[in-house]
Amino acid sequence: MNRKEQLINFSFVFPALAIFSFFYIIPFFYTFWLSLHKASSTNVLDLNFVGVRNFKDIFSVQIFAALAGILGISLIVFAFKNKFKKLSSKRKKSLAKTLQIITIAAGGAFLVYSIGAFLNISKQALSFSPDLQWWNSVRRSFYITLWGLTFQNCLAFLLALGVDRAARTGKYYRVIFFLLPVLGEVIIGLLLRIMLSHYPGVFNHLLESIGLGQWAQNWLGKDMALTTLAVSHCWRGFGYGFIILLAGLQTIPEQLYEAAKIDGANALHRFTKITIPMLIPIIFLVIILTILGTVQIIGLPMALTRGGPAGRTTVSVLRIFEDLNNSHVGYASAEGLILGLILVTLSFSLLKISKKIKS
Amino acid sequence: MRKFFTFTIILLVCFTLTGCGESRQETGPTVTIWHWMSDRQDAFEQLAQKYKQEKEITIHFELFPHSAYTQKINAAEAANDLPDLFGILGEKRVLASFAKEKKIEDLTPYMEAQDSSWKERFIDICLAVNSFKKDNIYAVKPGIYGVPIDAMSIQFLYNKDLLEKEGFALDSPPENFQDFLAIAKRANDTKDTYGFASGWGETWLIYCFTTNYAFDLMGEEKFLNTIKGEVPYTDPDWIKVFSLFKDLREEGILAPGIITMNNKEAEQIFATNRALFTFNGSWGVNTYQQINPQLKYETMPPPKANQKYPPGIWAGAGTSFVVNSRSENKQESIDFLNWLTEAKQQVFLIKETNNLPSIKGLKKDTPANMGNFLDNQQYFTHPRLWRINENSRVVEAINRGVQNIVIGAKTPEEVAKEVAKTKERYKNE
Repeated sequence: MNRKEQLINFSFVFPALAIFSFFYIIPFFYTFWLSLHKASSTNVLDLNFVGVRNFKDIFSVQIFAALAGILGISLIVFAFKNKFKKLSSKRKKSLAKTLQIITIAAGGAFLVYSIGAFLNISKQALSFSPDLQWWNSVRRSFYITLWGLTFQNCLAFLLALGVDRAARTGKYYRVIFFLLPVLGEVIIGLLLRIMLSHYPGVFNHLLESIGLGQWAQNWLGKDMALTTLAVSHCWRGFGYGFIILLAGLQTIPEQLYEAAKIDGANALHRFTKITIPMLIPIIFLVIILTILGTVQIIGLPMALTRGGPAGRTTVSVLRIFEDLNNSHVGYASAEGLILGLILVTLSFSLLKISKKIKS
Repeated sequence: MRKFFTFTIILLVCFTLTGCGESRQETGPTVTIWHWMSDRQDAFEQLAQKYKQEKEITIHFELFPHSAYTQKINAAEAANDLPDLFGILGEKRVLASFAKEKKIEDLTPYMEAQDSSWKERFIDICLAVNSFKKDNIYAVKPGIYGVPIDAMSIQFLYNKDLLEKEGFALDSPPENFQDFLAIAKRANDTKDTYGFASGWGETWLIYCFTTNYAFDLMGEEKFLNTIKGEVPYTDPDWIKVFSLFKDLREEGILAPGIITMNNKEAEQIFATNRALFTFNGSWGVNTYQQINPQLKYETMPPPKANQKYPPGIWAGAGTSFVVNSRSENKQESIDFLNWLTEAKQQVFLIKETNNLPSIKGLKKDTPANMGNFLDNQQYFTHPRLWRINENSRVVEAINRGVQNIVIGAKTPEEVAKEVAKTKERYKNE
C-alpha cells in the first residue's frame, strides 16, 4: 500500500477518530490531568499542581502506598513472565526488550515509592485517615446495586418469563413495563417524594385508609431513606432488564423445548437445562448494565432526598457532583477516576467469568 | 442517485452556513445577560423592551437552569466566552477569583462618578457583599465588583393567627430561646400544627441558622477566630450552639421530616397555617402569597440564646450582576445596570417579582409582608462580608452533624468532635 492509499484510507477513519478523541479520549486525559490539581483557597480559577495528593487524601497515605507497591510488583512480575517474547521478528524482539525494561523500571519506581512512603509513615506516625465520606458514598452506591442485582433483576426475569409466554398481550406488557425507564429519574424522584414524604404523605395516608396504619412511617427518614431509594431505583429500572431478557428469551429456538418435551423433560428441567444456559450471556450483560447504571445514579437521589438525611443517601456520583459544586474540581476528578476504575475492573471480571461459564 | 446525493450535500451546506449566521436582525449594540432566575425572566424581558424603546439598545436576557448555571459560567470563563453581564453564584472566593483574574470590571469609578450618586443609591449591605476592602484575604484590588438588583434577608417568621390562638400578644413574639421553645411547644400540642418548620433538607439554611446563633453565643470575633483555626469547634460555646438543635429536637417542636424537607415544602406548611414559626428568606413571600393570600405573618429577630452578643441575620444582595471586563459593550452594560437600579425600575421589579429592592427609600412601595424583611437591620450580616470564610468541607461537616443531632443519631459533643476533626484534616487548604 503506497502513502497515497494510506492517506485515503486514513481519511475515511479520520472523522470517527476525531469525534472519538474529542469526546472520549481528550476528556479522559483532561480528567486525569485535573485530578492532579487543586483549586487555590482564594482563587477557584487558579488550579495548582499537587501530584497524587487527591488520591492520597481519598485512600489515605497507607493504602495509597500499598496500592503503589502492589502495582510495582505486578508490573515486575508481568515483565518477567516474558510475555513480550511472543513477538517474532528481529525488530519486534528489540522493541519487546525495550518494553520489558521500561515495565521493570516503572514497577521498580512504584515499589521504591511504596517503601519510601511506608518508611515516612512510620517516621511521622501518620494516622490512617481515608476519606470516609467518599467511601461511605461508594458503599451506598453498592448497597443500591445489590438491590438492583437481586430484586430488580429477579423481577425483570420473572416478568420476562411471563410475558414470553403471553403471545397476544406481550406487546402491551412490553410498553407498560418500559414506561418507567422512559420517564426521567428526576420526574420519578419528585413523584415519589410527594408520595413518600411526611407532608403530604400520600403513601402513609393510603396505608392508613386500608387499615395498615401501623406500617406508616417516615420513608425518607434516617432508617429507611437508603432502602427507599434502592427500591425506587429498582422499580424505575427493571424495565431495561425486562426488555433485554425478553429479547434473549425469544432468541432461544422453540425446537429445543419441543425436543426436551419429547425426551420427557419437565418444566423445571427445561428451565434449568435450556433457558438458563442459553441466557447466560444475556444475564451477564444485564448484570453489567445494572452495575454500571446503578452505581452512576444521581438524578433520583437528588430529586428524592438531596443526599439526606444527614448524608445517608449521598451516593458516589452525587458526592462527585457536590465536590464539583464546591469548586473541588481536582478532588472530584480523582473520585471520578477511582469510581471508573472500580467499574471497569468489575465489568471485565464479570465478562471473564461469563466466558468461563460459557466455555 | 448521484443527483440526489449532490442535492442533499448542497442542502446540508446551505443549512450549515445559514445556521452560522446571526439570527437577529437588530441595529445597534446588543447586551447579553446570563442568569438563572426563571421566575424573573418575564419581568426582565419587559424591562428589556422598555430599555430598547428608551435607549435603542437591545438587551438579551438568556436563562439557564440553576443547577447547571455555575458550570456554564465556568466553561464560558475557560473558553473566554463570557457574556456582557452575568451573575456569579457561590462563595465570595468565587467572586474574588473572577475579580483577581480581571475577568470582571471594577465598577468603583462608575459608581463614584457624579458625587457617588449611583453608589449612594444602594442599601449598604447590598453593595458591601459585592465589594472588597483594603487588605482583604483574597488579595483582590479594593473596589465594587457587582451591582445588586435586589435584596434578601433570611429571618424568623411567626404566624400571627397561630400566635394569637396560643394566647400571646401579637406584637410580642418570643425574645429569648427558652420562650421560643415554650411557645412553639404549645403550638405543637394542636393537631396537625407544628412549632417550627424550615427547609433543612437544603443544608445551607442549616449553616445560616447555625452561624446566626454562633454570633449570638460567642460573638462575631470568636466565630471568625474559629474559622481562622484559633478556636476549636469543641469549644464550650460551639457545644452550646449545637445543643440548641438538641433542644429543638427534645422539645418535639420540629415539623416531622424537617431535615429532608426542601424550602418549598416548608413554605407550604407555614403558608397553610400548620407551623407557628419558620426560618426563611424574603423570597418565601411569593409562595405565601400564592398559597394563602390571607396569611398573617411577621418577621422577628432570632430569639436570643445569650444576652451578651447580638445574633446574626443573613442579608444582602439577592442577585447581583457583574460586568465582563473584556466585553465590547462594557459602557452599554454599565449604563443598563445603572438604569435597572433606578427607583422606577426597582419598583417595577418589586411588583412583578416580589423581591426586596436593593436601593434605599422604597419601603413605602414594598408590600408590608415583604417590607418586614427589611426590619432588624442592626443584625444584618452575610458570609460575603466576613473577612474569612469556612472551608466547604467543614461547612458540610457542620450541616451533616446538625442533621444528625436533629434525628437523634449524634450528640452535640460528638458532632463538635467530628467537625473539629474535619477542620484539622483540611486546615492547610
